Amino acid sequence: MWPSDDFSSDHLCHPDVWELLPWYVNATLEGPELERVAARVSSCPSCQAELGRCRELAAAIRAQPEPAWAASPERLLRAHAQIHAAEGASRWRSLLGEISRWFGLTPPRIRWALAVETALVVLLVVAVTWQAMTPSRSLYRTLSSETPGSSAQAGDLRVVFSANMTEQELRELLMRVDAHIVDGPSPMGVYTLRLTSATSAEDRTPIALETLRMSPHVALAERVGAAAVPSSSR
Amino acid sequence: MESEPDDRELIHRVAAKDRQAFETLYHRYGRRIFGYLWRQLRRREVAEEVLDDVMLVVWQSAGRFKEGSRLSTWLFGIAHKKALHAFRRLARSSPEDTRALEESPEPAAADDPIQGVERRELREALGRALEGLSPEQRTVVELTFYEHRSYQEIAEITGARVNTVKTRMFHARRRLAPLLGRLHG
Repeated sequence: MWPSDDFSSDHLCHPDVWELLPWYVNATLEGPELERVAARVSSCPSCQAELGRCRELAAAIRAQPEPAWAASPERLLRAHAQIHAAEGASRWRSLLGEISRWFGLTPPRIRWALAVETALVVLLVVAVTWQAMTPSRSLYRTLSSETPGSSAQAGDLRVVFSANMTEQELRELLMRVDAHIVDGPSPMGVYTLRLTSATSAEDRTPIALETLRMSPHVALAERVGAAAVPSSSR
Repeated sequence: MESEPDDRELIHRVAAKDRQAFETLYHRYGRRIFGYLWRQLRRREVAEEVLDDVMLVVWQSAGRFKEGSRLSTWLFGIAHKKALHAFRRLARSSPEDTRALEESPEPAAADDPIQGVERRELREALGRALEGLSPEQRTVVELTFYEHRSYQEIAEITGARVNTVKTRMFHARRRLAPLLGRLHG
């Protein structure tokens, strides 16, 4: 059918026609090229033979079966899903690209200032977020909470006296519980009392607290660091 | 009843992100592009995967379609690039796999058993012969004889010069000649 020896030798007589034969076969040649090939094929036996081989090749290729395929709803769904995923990714890329492009257009000095500002804003956001997400005693303080910078120690007592208490009544109460004021009043009117260390302060603390809470001149009495219990709840 | 949009209107609507138009385009060209990809790659799942990639590019780049071009030429151009890329990726990942290609599905049985055997032999010989071509040569042969494309269109699809297209076809024919000749010898 297709003598390979002839292929190299025969085409040399009309190479310009031979190279166009496949497109003469598929009917896409036009104008002068079509006329030239048609004329040569009608007069040259060698070109006619090659044209026949080209036609056989074309027919054989077209006769090749291929697997069945249809644009099913599942395939369309898959195509839409791929588009959706790609668009999501490209929105981020385009936003970053836009920021980067805009950043590149600014003068270097402003660029650095913006970079530092951005870093500070990011740090601030991180710090605020961290604080908001971390339970912190500094955000909610009771009267008995330790005050930063105060001289209070563990075992000390926080006390709020009533406004009508006289200085003498205060002195008598302090002597009764064997304590002295080490800090206060705070802006909220809280005093810090410390039991006299001559005796075991730790052992006497519950009694002193009880004595203070029983006094009509004490609005609140708590250990430092303990949750506040208003004197009314006694 | 609303008539089907022509290719130009269709691609403009796709460029405007009209999903209905995209589906129409998929229905209109999906089968042909899949066939082209399958003949290039000879693997159904790979051809389907590449078809999805082609359609994604169509969706994203429809606005870049040049007026005056044929939509099918533009689509085949995208498919050609994606197929070449897939072919090279396959060749890199497992070189022997590019030779162990899927068999062509069996065509409808011929009435004459002898004719049926000859046809099968011809098909198998041709399949082997086509596999022996470079991807670029195979592309030119397929686009010419299967898709009936002019050499100018093939140049546009493949991004090659017209003379390069003719040269590839010439070498492909020379390589196919002895194989087909042996079948009938």
